[in-house]
Amino acid sequence: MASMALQIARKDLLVEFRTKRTLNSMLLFSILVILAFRFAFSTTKLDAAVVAPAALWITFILAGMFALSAGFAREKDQDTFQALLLCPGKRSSIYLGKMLSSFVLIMLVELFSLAAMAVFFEYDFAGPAQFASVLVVMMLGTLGFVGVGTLLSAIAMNTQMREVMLPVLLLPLIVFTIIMPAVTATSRLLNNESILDVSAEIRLLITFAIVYIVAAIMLFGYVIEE
Amino acid sequence: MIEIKGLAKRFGNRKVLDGVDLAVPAGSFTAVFGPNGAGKTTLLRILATLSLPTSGTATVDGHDLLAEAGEIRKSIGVVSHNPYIYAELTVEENLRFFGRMFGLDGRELDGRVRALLSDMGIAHRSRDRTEILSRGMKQRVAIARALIHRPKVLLLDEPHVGLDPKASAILDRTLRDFKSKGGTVLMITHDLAKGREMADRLVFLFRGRIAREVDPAGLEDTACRLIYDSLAEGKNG
Repeated sequence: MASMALQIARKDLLVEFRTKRTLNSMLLFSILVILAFRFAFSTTKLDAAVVAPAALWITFILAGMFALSAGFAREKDQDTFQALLLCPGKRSSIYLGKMLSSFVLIMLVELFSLAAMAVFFEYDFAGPAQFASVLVVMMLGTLGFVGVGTLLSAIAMNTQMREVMLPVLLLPLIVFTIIMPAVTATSRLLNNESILDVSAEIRLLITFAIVYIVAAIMLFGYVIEE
Repeated sequence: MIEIKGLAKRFGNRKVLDGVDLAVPAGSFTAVFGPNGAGKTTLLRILATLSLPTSGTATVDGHDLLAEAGEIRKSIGVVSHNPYIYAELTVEENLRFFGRMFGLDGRELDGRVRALLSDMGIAHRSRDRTEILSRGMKQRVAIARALIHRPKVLLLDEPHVGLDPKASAILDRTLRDFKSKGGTVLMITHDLAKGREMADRLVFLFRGRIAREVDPAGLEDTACRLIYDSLAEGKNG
């Protein structure tokens, strides 16, 4: 199962880095959101630790939707999803492969957004420990996001308005389970609190990442069944 | 090799397959004819484990359709009128990807890819992305994709659609080679002449049921057409 998932993720990333269709949209979108937030606070005293977490997670979630939608939409449009279904092994390998490729793509955009935030919000990280702590929160939040988002993207793939369906299905599920703890933890970390101070938020992110991924592995076969 | 008993499929109230019984012996080539909506593609999709039957049973290469779908997928190769290949990947990258998905690796995969590129006459296009290939070339890649893991059974859904004579001849030669090595072929087609020429058994599927099975030996195209037309008019041959 792991081997098939890795092959699918590798193929998806190869296709994406070759065409850059989704990546370019995500990068453009993320820089626009960061700049919009920066301009909104250009006439007032800017407190990056207050504004940046919201700006970052709005960017991550909305740019992440591009990656989640593209993963299955491309397969559906080219009818190659049938070819994946014809491969042996568990159906959940397809889910894991798609989840992994989306995770890598979104993390790349998040790193870019974090750098853009630091530049435009004139924020200096206190040190590697603070940067690493923010990175841990980003990774855990993203894991839960792609965990449930990949499953819902597979559901949305077969609907007529798949671009609309994905956010409608996804956002209510992640508001309190991913966005709230992730934004809170990011805000506190940017306010120079330590990672131990946000352990409650981190536990929540880990729990929901596990719950979403395990549930998706169990449900994926049913979701794609004709 | 393929045993189908009482296979039925409903989409809502619409009965697409209505108790299909069919046995396809190992090493045989069976062509399935029928008008649009007769249930041909649904039958093939069920055998390919892409769709679940509403009732009935089937085995492919001795594996039960519902209990051992994964094993069936190892035994079958599927070629449709849609090539099921990635436009952004090269010909060789497509074959390597699908080879790895079937557990091939290293020298075995290298050899298999080289052999298929050569057999299909596409070695000179191996580094081209498939999005720039002609329909016939794409279909050759699709055949190579379906054969990469050395399947025992080939399931074909209108594989000749849109092919030029050269690509069609390569497909025919490949199918004959496959059969001569003991492979089993089930081909859905509207082309009565092609089916009669290639197959050693003709099956007529009408309104979700097997209406008639015919041995094509000595059967002329006109006779084949007469059978088809009479079944289509409900005279049952």
